[in-house]
Amino acid sequence: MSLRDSRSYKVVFTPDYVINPENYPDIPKTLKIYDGIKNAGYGIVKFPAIDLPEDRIQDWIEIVADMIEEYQKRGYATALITINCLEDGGVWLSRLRAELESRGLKIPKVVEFSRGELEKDEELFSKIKSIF
Amino acid sequence: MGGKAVFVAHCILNQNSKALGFASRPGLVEWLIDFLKKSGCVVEQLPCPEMLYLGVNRWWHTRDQYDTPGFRRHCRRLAKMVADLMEYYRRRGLAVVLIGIDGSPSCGVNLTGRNPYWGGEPRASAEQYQVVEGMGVWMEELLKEVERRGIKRFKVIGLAMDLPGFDLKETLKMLEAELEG
Repeated sequence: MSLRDSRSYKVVFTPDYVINPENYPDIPKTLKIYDGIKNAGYGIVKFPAIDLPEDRIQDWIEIVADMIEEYQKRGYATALITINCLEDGGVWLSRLRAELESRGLKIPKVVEFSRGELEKDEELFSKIKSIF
Repeated sequence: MGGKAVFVAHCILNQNSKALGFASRPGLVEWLIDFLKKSGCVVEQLPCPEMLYLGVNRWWHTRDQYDTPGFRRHCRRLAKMVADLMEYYRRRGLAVVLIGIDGSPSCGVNLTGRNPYWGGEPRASAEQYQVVEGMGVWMEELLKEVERRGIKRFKVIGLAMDLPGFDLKETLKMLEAELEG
């Protein structure tokens, strides 16, 4: 049983697109954001697919907000990645913001990627590396 | 090998959710996610019931300690959310696969961790954590929900990546065979 602990204390909350770009026919099918996060050593909390049925969304918003609250309370760095060509950033941003505000919490740093940035490797990797 | 939605234990994408002392990497288990994506799989992340219930500063726990009505109720709520997602992918024609963490008190598939004497003053050594055959509490509740809904049986794989003797090469070979077809 391994007892070393190598965690980075850095967590990014990402749209489904970051891990499953094949689910999104209209934007570049690239895993570059995932690669950048992997190389930077951040943990990922992924939102479910964006076309989840309407009546299922709030439950996911609540558990994501629970995680943001817990990580922030314990001093972990958190950030939220959004994609500007996906509805509400691909993370139901307006609902998440409302949920966090109702708890008196600040939304984590939002790092938005445009369609153009998804095709520029160097800029994309450097933007991810400098999130925290 | 494509056409699969692989549901992975939360910590595979986020090692920061592990009980302190057990994060083997800074962020994520890259060899597994890289393998699944190269294999054409959709990857879904399960919620971590331990982290959501007791937070990131939780003590180490055994299956015995998590085997309570309250924790099981919490798991059942999460299981409904995950089973919805599994049905969503099945409607899209994808086969579902579930990957848990063998040895875990909640995410173990073939192996879990027990010690009926743990409790009270938090004094414990890793050697007292007895890895035994059995399933973790979260996997049990998730599979009960899957069965209750009549979702077609799917592959459930346990990876012993936190246990001694873990062999990456053999594991990749096994995964390749399991995900074939």
